[in-house]
Parts: sequence; C-alpha cells; structure tokens
Amino acid sequence: MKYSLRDFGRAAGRHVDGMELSPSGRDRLTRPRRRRPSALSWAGWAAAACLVIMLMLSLPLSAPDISNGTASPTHGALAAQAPGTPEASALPAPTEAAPATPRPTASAPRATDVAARSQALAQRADMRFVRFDNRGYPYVLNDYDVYSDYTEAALSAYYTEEEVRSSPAGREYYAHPGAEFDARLWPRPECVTFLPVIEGADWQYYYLELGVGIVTRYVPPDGGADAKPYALADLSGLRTDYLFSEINYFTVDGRAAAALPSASSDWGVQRWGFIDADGGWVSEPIMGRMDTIYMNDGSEDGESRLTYYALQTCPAVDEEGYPEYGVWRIYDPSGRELFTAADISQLTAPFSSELTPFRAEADGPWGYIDQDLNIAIPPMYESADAFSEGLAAVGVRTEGMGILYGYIGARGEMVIEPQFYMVDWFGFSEGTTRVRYGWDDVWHTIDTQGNDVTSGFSLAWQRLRRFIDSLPLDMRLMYAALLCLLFTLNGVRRARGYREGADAPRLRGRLGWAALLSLMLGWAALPSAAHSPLPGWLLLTGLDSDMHTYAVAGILLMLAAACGFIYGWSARERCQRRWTRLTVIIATPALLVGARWLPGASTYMDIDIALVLMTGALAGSTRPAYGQYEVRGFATRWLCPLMCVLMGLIALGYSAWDWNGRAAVSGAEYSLSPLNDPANLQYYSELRDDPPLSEEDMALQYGEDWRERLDALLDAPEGLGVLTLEVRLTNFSLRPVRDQFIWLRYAELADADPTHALRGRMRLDINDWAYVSPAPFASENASFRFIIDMRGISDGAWLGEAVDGYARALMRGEA
Amino acid sequence: MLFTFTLTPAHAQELDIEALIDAHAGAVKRCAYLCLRDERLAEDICQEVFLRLWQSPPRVREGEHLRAWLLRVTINACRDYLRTPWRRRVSTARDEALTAAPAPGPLPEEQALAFERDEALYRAVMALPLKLREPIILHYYFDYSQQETARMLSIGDGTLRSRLTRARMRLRAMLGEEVDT
Repeated sequence: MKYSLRDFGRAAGRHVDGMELSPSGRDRLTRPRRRRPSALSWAGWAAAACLVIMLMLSLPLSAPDISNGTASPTHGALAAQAPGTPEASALPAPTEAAPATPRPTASAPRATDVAARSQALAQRADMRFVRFDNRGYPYVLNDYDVYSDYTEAALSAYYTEEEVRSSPAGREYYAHPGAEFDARLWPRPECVTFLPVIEGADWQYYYLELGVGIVTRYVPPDGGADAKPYALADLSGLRTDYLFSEINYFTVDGRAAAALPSASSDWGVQRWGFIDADGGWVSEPIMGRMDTIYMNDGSEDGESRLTYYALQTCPAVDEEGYPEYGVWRIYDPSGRELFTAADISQLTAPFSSELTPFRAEADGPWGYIDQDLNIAIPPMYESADAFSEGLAAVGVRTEGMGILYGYIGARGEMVIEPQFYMVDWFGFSEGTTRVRYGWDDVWHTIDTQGNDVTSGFSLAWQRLRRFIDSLPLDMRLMYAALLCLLFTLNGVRRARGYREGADAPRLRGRLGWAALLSLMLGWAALPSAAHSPLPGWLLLTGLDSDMHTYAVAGILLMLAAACGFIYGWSARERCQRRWTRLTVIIATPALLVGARWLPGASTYMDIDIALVLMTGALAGSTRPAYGQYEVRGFATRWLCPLMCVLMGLIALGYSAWDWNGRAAVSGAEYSLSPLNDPANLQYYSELRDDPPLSEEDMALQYGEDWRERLDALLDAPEGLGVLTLEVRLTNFSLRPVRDQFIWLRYAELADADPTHALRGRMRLDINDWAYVSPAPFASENASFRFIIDMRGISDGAWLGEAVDGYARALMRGEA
Repeated sequence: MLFTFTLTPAHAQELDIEALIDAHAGAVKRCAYLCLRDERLAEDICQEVFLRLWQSPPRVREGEHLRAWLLRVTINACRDYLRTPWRRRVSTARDEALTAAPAPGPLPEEQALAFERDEALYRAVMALPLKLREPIILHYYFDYSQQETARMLSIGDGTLRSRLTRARMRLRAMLGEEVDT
C-alpha cells in the first residue's frame, strides 16, 4: 500500500480541524483600535535632532576668536604701511597724479557741484526728432523740443482731426471707415521745417540752429569693420559721406562724440573722437571702448543727463585679436579731457555711487574720486571696492599678515578696522555683508558697525560643507559608496518580501520613498560626481562637453520620471482622496526644490526636474493601488533591467574610444628642507645638466634664462628651502591610467589665500608637472619640488598652514 | 495622551470586520499553524493578517475570493515571519505539530494501521520546508485546484507541479515508500 498525498487532508484534519481563534485573540482583534505614538518615541526623535544639531555646531573649525583680536593686525604695522591713512577729521591732500583742480571739499553730498555741472553740459535745446508726414516727407517741429510730442502746445502744430477729415487729402487718406487718426501725419507747414528726402537712408535727429542732422542707412548685421551706417546731413542733402559707426548727441558748443569702426569692433572697441557740425575731427580718434555716463542733475526728481564720456583706451591688440586695454580718459560731452586714470573699478558701473575707485598708476595703490572727478580719498589702498550703504571695502597691506580688508566711510575714515581675509565684492546689502576672518574660515555676516551677526544655522551649514570638503576624496567616495550600499541592501531586503496581496502597495510606498531619496542623493552629489573618477561617471566624462551635458541631463530626467512614477503609484495607497494625492504630488517636488534652494544649491535644472517629477508622479498615480490579482508580467520582470543594461551600453558605446582611466587626487603630503641639503643640491644640479624636457620646451615653458636663474639660486642657497609636495593620485576606475600628465595650476583666489602667499615666495617651479600611470584601484605619488624663499618667515606654522591650504585646495580640485 | 486618535481608513469603514473574523479566522489560523507548526505563532499571524485586511482590504470582497486573499496573505506573512532575523535568533516555535495526534480510542487493526500511516504522512509533510509545504497545504488541505493554488502562490502551473514532484521525492526519502499524488 502506497502513501498518498490525498490522505494529507484527512491526517491534517485530525490535528487542526477543531482549531479556532482563541477568545483572547478575537478580543485583541475586535477591540477598538487606537494608535498613540509613545512618549518615548517623541523623546527619541527630539534627542536625535538635538544630537544632529550639536554635532553640526561642534564640527572642527579654525575660526579665530574675534573678541581677543588675535586675527586683527597690530595697528603699528598698519600705520607703517599706509602712512597716509586719514583720520576722521583730517582730509587728505590730492596726489600729484590728479589734475590740478582744487577740490572744494571731500564731504558728500555735493549737490551744488552736480547742479552746476549739469547746467554747463546741458544738451542742446534745438535737437528734434525727425517725423514723417502723410506723404512720407521728413520734417521737424520748429518750436517744440523733442520731449513734448503730446503736450497741448505741441499738438497745436498739427491740424486737428476735423480739419483733416474735411479736407480732400484727408478724405482720401482715411477713405476706409474705422481708420485711426494720427495727428503727427498732418503738420501745419508754417510750424515745421521740411527736410530733404535722402535715398536709402533715414533721418534720426535734426539740430535746427546748427543746421545739421544725423542720417543712418541700413547695414547688414555682419557688416563687421565696414559697418559705417551714420552720416551728417543738412537741408541740401548729405554733408559728409557715410563715415561713422556711431555718432552721439551734439552739445551746446556743437561737438559730438563719434566713432570710426575698427577691426576689433566685436569687443566694442572703436576709434572714438569728437567732431564738429561739419564732420571734421576736433580731436584725433583714439582706439578704445566708450562708456556714456549719465548722472542725475542734482534735483530731487531731476533727469539723468549725459555728464561724462569714459574712454577705456585700447592701445594694442594681441595676436589673436583680443584687445589690450590701457588708461582711462574721462571727457566732458564737448570732448575736453578732464581726468586720466590707470584704472577705474569696473566692479560696478563707474560713478554709480558717490565715490568711484580708481588708481593713478598701473599696479599702484587705489583711491577714490567723486562725481566731480576730484580725488576724494588719495590712492593708498591695495584694493578698493565700490561704496555700498556708505561703506567700501579696502585692502591694506600689513606686516606678516598679507593683505587684510577693512571698511572705510565716505571721508576715508576707517569704520571697520582691517581684519578680514576676504570680503564680499558686492558690499553691504540691507545693512550686512559677508567676510572671512581667516584663510580657512567660513563666511561670517557683519553689520555696518563690524559686529558679527552670523546666524547659527549658516555657520553650522558652512562648517558641515567645509568638513565634508576637508575629507580626502577616497574617504568621501567610501562614505558615498557605503550609503549607496546600505540603501541598496535595505531596498533588496524589502523587495524580497511578498510582492502581492495587501503589502504590495506598502512595498511600493517604501520603494517610492527610497527612489525619491536616492534621486535627491544622486542629484546633490552630481556636481562632484560628474568630476569624480567613479567608473559610472567616467563613462560620461569621456563624452565631449555638449554630449556630456545632454547625457547627464537626460539620465537625471529619466531618473526623475521613474522615481516620480513609483512615488505617484505609492501615493495611491497612502492618499485615499484625490485632492490629497494631488497635494502630495505637487508638494513633494516643491519641497525637493526648496531643500536645495535654501542652502543656495539650486540651478535652472531644478525646475525641469520638479516638472518631470510631477508629471511622472501624476502618471504613476493613475495606476491602481490594489492589484493583488494582477500577474507580474514580462514588463516589470525584464523590461526595467533591460532598459538599464541598454542605457549602460549606450553610454559605453559613446565612450569606447576613450578607454583610459583617469586618476584623481586622493591625498597630499609636504615636507620642507633647506636648499643647502646635499641631496637637494645634487638633485638640482642633475636637473640642470639633464633637464626633464627638451631644451626648446624648457625655454618655452620656463623662460630662456631658466638655467641662469637656477644657477643663481644654487650659488646663494642661504635662506632658500625646497618644498616637496607628494600628491597621491588614485585610479578609481577599472581601467589602467596610461601616462596621465598632471600639473599644478595656481588657483586664482583672493590675495589673502595662502596659496597666493606661497606663490609669492616661489623662486623656481620647474617641477610643476609629472606623469603618473597608476593601475586600476592603485595609487601613485607624483612629487613636485619648488624652491621657495624662507626669509622673513618667522612663524613656521604660517607656512604649514599655507601648504596645508594648498594641499586642501588641490584635493578639492581647485589647484 | 496628547496624540490619541483613531485610525480608520476610509476604505475600511464599510468592512464588517467582526463578521469576517468569525467567518475566516479559523481557516487563517489553521493555515498559519500548518505553515509554522506553532499555535501561539498562528494566533499572532492571525492578528497580522486581519490587521492587513483592515488597513488595505482587497477590492473583491465576496466570500470565496476574500478567503483566497486571506490565505494568500497568511502564507506571505508566515514566509515573512520565517525570514526575520528575530525569529532565527530567538525562536520559540515548539514544533507542536510534530507531536502525535491523540488516538481516537482502540481501533480495529486495519484502521489502526491506516491511522499510523496518516500520522507518519502528516509528520513527514510537516517536516518539509515551507516552500514545498505551501502547495500541499492549499491543494490537499484547503482543496484549491492546482490552478488556484498556483495563482495564490504567484507561481506558474509548471512550477507548482515541479514543487509537488520535489515534495513527493522528499517524502519518499523520509517515508521509505512511493508517495502518490
């Protein structure tokens, strides 16, 4: 007799048939269900939040204590460097560089000066816009200026509508009913001056008393150096040929700024000079770029009038056609040269505020001129920013501390002592600005009295970012990889559960959150990931820049659509009502964008991503949430993995030509030894005899005299040291790196940056390049040696900090 | 006491949960027992299953469909339970099911023999891994057809047949005799 599974029902029945839910179990199930979050869980969340905040606040930071003044320089040193520092009461004398105009006072405001100036430079009253009458003839009004088109007096120069419509010409012109009447087509001949019609050109302005006007002809947009659209004309026709690329307004004494085209017109550089009413040059044209400076005429609601021409001269053009700019010349509208300066700050438009930074000599100190071109504050600062809210940041050289920045008031008095290593270029806004107290400091906010009013949140956020930045790249990558691994493992563990029945929507809910989280993580990591040597991104960075941008944007958008779809699907389960679902779908992308916008990380891509997320979520929310009888089909099982593989293959195909891996900086060490050291001497003498490049290349790279310079340094090695930088490069890709050429690039940072100071001390940097070829997942050291000047370095820690900052900048990819 | 609120999803409000418990709780508990071999655990699974019914009920709520849905959720919950690390570390399952059923008094020899054979078969089936036991429970104890069983376990018909075959081969090794379907 065989066993039969059919007997199992009977056999099991003997054991379990009588089994029912116990009364206590039934009671547990049918009792009214209440959920009360335990007090403990609330306390737990609160404790966790406190912990995170405390951690953020206590992150390491080398910010100096401001109260004891360790970061501010000694005032003795300041006085030694800037002897002319004005006190609040004493006014500085003008320097020789300034024109000999006596300045009445340096105090602001100077309303009388401005009013007098604008009166003297008033525009001509006889300037008229040229109009065309009903027959197409150009004319100008005799009695009314250009701005009075619609005043009652100006309208009296035209026929009224009744007069026009009752005349034969008017009846013919307005034959069709509903035609709109335009008075300017019907001037009274006794009130206007008719101008000749000039073939192929249009009248712009006409000056009645000067008897000259400006005409322009059409020039194709790519006219280039031959674009000469402007000419002067009078009642008898053209007075000059089409010579000018620009003509500005004529002034009371009959002069106008005009330009001839030049080969560098693309850069706004033309040959500018001043012409009289006959088109003759009053002053020789000079190559340069002309700014017109309009100023208020001093009254409360006065008009802005053309006050100065500021010409940034361009004495030369380099081989590639880029202009090389020279001194600034400032003219009054009649072409009289008023002021010459080596440089006028372009940070903001010149003369947009009371005082404008300038310097008299190239590479000389900076000072300020006022709107009347008097020297308000003589040049004595290493740098000078524009005024904002009554204060301007100036740089002052100090003993041993490099250049420090402080703030001066309108009289040149130091309002906030120089103590900052960096300041915000844009100055004060709503009473605050941003400064750094140290090279390695975060941005602090100060008010106009110099008090530190930084919010705790901003400090904590910046410290967090700084802390993350300070981690070596491989550690950051490791953390990122660990996070990804955790998320993946968690996701896999969850997804391994039952995929159908009641828990399917819940699973989707978790997946939806995980998808959103991973999108956020990936999105946040994108700027660094795009430059990281992770294999996946390497595939993308192999693309040319356009293709790379499109590929990254495409992948992000696809990810966003997929994540949004899953999220929207899961929203079906959590939100039973349509409007709550819609709210969730709209609010989530908004929150995502907000989370990136708050710390200032949002870009234009955010809007696209948010829209795609919303669309994906809307599409996802149309799927039924309870699909417990649906059969998992081919699509869900195979289509997604297939798509992923396909995308990978496409990316791979794009970059197949670029199989080399790329190494990234993962650490740096430095050491300092005197040049006297026999090993160093031997190294450099070998370098001199057997240079690493060919003679031509060495000469091209480091100058013809590199050998002489090296010899000079080796002959007098006292006070010199050799700084050795060992930069560790790691190949994180699966492919070998073949002879990657790396070199040190000096960051163009603020003067106060330690790398800049280090750069200033460098005497020889012949070894600023190296070849490395690390195997996959291996590291290789590239060593760079510099001869630096150690004289005057009393504080060894400073150099340590400088090199440390340099190495850190290297790892951040700035150098 | 600050945050006391009653959670009743809108879609669960029209469910007569008590009637459903009376109608189906026994079957759910028996299924869970056959899966986990522990009555106390089976009670817990019951709680879990009806909680899920209440939180997210299926669209189709007619008797037989609902019963199939409940059994499927039960099996899923049992699988999930067996998978949790907690259970692997602190297992209190007592494998009560492997103890013999009480003999229904003195029997004629032939019936006593049949009873012994049933008991042996029951013990052998209960010793199978859950993956192979699930189809036997649904098909032979709850009398679902092979197609229904396959659908409830979310597997194909072929997979179901191969699982049953593998179960029979295991049973043959345990019982020392051929086992019919």
